Amino acid sequence: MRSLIVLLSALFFLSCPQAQSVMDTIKRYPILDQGRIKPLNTFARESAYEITGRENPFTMTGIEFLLMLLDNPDKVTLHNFIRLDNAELKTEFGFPVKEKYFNFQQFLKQPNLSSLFDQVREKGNRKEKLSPRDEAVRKVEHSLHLISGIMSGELLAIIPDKTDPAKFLPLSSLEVRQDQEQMKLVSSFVKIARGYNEKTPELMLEGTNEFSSSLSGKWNPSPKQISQFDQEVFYLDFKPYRKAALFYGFSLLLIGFFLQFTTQSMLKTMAQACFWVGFMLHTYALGLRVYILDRPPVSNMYESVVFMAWAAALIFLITQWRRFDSIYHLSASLCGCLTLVMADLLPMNSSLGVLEAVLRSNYWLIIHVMTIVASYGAYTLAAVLAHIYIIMSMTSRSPQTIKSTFKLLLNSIYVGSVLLVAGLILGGVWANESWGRFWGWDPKETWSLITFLGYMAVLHARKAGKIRELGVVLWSLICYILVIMTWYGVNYIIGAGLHSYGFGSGGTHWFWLFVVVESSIALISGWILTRKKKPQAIAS
Amino acid sequence: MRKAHPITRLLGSLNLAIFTLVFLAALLAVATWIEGQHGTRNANLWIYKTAWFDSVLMLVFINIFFATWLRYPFKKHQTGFVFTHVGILTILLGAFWTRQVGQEGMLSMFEGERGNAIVQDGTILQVTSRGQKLLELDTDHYEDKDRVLNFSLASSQERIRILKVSAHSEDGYRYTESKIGIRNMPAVRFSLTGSMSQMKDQWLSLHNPKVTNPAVLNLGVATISLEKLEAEELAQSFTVPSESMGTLIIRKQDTSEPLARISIRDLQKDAVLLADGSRIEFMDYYPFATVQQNVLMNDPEERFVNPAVRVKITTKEQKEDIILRFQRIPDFKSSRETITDYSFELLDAEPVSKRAALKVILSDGKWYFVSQSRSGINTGELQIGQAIPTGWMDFQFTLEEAIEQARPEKSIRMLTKTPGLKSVRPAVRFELLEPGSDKGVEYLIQYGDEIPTLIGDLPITVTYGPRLLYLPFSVTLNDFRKIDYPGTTRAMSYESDVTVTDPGSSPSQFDKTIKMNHILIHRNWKFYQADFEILDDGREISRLQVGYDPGTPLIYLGSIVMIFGICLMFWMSPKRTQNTDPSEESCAV
Repeated sequence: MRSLIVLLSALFFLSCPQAQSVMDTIKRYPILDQGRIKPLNTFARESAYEITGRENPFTMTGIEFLLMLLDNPDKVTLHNFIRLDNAELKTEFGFPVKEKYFNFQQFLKQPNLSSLFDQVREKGNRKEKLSPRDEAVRKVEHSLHLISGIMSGELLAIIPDKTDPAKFLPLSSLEVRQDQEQMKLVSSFVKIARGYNEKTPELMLEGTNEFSSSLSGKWNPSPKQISQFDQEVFYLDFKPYRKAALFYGFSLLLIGFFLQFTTQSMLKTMAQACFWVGFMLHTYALGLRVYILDRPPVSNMYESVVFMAWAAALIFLITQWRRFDSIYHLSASLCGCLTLVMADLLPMNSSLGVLEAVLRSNYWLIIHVMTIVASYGAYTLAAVLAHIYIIMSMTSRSPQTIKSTFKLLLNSIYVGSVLLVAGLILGGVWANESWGRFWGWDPKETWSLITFLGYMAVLHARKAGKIRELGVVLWSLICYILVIMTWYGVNYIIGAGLHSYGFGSGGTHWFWLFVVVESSIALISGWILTRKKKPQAIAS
Repeated sequence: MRKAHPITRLLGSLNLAIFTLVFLAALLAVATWIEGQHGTRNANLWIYKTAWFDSVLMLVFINIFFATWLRYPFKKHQTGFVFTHVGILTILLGAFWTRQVGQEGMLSMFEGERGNAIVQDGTILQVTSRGQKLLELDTDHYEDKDRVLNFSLASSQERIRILKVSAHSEDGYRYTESKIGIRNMPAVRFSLTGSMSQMKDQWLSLHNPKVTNPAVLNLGVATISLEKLEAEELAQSFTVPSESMGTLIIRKQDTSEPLARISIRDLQKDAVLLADGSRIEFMDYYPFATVQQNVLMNDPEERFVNPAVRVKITTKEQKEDIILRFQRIPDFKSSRETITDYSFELLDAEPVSKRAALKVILSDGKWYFVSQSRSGINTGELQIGQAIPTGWMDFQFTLEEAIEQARPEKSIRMLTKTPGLKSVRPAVRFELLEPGSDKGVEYLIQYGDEIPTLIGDLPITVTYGPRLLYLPFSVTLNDFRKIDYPGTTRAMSYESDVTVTDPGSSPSQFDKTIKMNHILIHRNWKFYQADFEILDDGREISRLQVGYDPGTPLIYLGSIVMIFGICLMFWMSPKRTQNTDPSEESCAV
């Protein structure tokens, strides 16, 4: 029944072009959320994502979901749209484990809900590790907070403050309630929501016109802000990262096909073209983020993953200038595609957020963090090449191809190491500028050093003749685990130190899975390949 | 390649390089793990700031030094190698230099305060006489055993014996009868026994609760309190106060004359029909209303006396709405109310707390008790040692000691474990030994305290507290600000306005704002905004990290040289990187 209602509401809007333009206007209304004035669209999508796990839940868009929540509360609280995945918590609540979505009332009926929330919050305050079930409790609390905050209007800070142009007041605030003019804004917004829920476009149009006209005198965005708003709405709808991943994927398929089945140079050119399109989209997406937020795009895990992929692609393009190595091309496409898909699928916060106080120094942030993340890009490229090297050695490709792959791998390690050590030193310079000391054995900087030492150990061992080509390849895989530890593990597994603006929990099992898989690949392939080489050596 | 002694060759060998690289990496990994488990302080104490960690770094230095030295005179293709390794040597030299003469500490100041003493790592027990330091002991590194330390005072040898160092001690108070003194107040000691739990030797006092024991003890199920009353007030406290649910006043909008005055108690029994045909029905009444997590409820602790009523109104046109009114916040209206042509007001509600409570009352030199529970009120005179049933579960209250004119005395207890959330301070128990004897006077000193005493006729002062370092100039905190992102409590920036006063520099006084990425540098001392604290009374403390780090220029220089070298090594000589033949290098091994 519920889904039928939802479906009907969607059909109603699809059939009405006028409603589309109304929606476009509503999407661009300003809201103050988490310290930033953003389009209502962004808030709606982020809230929808937090609550339902999708930015466009069911057949609705984010903004439609928001308007639905503003409907008659008795009805809305009975719709099943709050997502809960954790089986343990479902059993605890007495919910059917097979179901994914539950309604507001079901949660409120839980007798110990608030003490459960308190327990987990206290655990978080004590900086204890949270179990997946605790994380789920936190998520439920956040979802319920969002829903009740939207329903009551507490979270909808869309009414411009009279004295402070950078401030917006929530629909429910006392100041707004006491002001006739501001109440007009509230009632016209309520009209929009009612129009949507009662499926009367006329009422919505009326509400929108009223709201827009009362807003225009009170909020005067600069032309830049208007265009930033447009770009932000576009960014979220267009999803350029996904499209970039798609093109990297095409490029990967084409070059794979070329390597395996044919020598048609057409395919090669097409693969190159696809890679370039992917890279352009990728660059465009990064640029959009920079433009919208007025800051470099490297402040959280999601942004650094995406930037890492871009750096890897850039390093590939520079080192491949006017040359073509199909194996290298394959690695770069794989790296770009895989990373972007991963960034999209993993539960990372991709929202457009503000910066922690410590990061508010754009100049050093750009140089230090970007250099470090770019080094991760080079190391990732090296790791992909290492995997391909192993596969090629197993399938007995021509020694010449294997050799050239090794050279590319070595070069990637060089690039990565130079960038890492430069980034480390720049970090020291930044630390000296902002903390008054160059080096303080902070876990993040220490792990960066460990990574560098690891790769240097491999290079020195090669010089000393302790290991040869294969050894370098296998050990570089182990060193890549260090990279991931520095990048992800320090924040999520060790969880201490001054770089604490990036802390979190969750996903640790993925990290350990990665460690186990990579070490086994190194171990097993090392064992197989050394056995395979020995008889050849004897024969020669 | 020069001919060299086998030991030199070993020290400069690639094998040693590989070993130190791997060993250092593993060691650091363990260190970060320790930091995650046991905190930054312990990681510093156990690894980073130890002599053996310094020697590991020294090993790296020696290895690189000899590796470079062995290759002298350098060939052209070794340029990259030489630059890189000389760069690293320079960085390490800078680091050692900083380690030797560098200083680090924290400067905490209230707004308006002037300071020049920075707090460094370490907890110091210090003996001074007339400003002269006689003895200093860092108890962070103290092993827990009897230790006798010597110091000289006016050419004679004196001895102090450290008996025990404890990281935790607790302040307590006991009370004694005292006829003189103006700060004397009543105090009682009682015990509470029941089959579920017991409480012994608990003090209540009417002294300043910030300093000594409080006058009210909240036990969760009930409260126990101490009061001093005049004779006429006493009789009143023995009777149950009357309870009223109040009256709801309803007005038509824009008229001052009320449409109806409805007693809530009457409304509870039956719905009321107004003169204009609207109907009012009772829904809920909350004598101690509170909103927690968006849910309206009765406060179980009854901390806020804020009666609220919820009624349902049905107009003649059959429009329905639910109205909620608080007595204390009459202007608060729910945003969902749709019927707006009436105004509602709740008046004269006087709720009575139903919480179980026991009061000990001193009046006119006699002790009384008032015990309130669900079963009613129980009063009477109190005798020492007499057990009184409280009425809450099977608890019995016994007055052990009652002092009208009590003087508090501080007592310190040393604890072996961290007791929960109580604020605790480190403490040291020590003895000042008599000359030529193994006995002496015993003292107990807590962190932050000082004990003035005499040895012979000479005054000495024993202090216990942080290690302090005095700057050659002073800094005044004029203003501290925390600037948030609009509409949130997330910090955007922390800023301290300071004035530096230094007679030895010109100008001798100047202003500066310290904030993130904007540090103050004066005479090679660097100040940066590290932390802040806002006390309950609104006063703000700004904490500045202070550092003196003379090795930094060397580190910068070394870094530039090293990066230049690495680039040369990797890319300027492609022949070497592509040539995997290690024969040339293995000569050094």
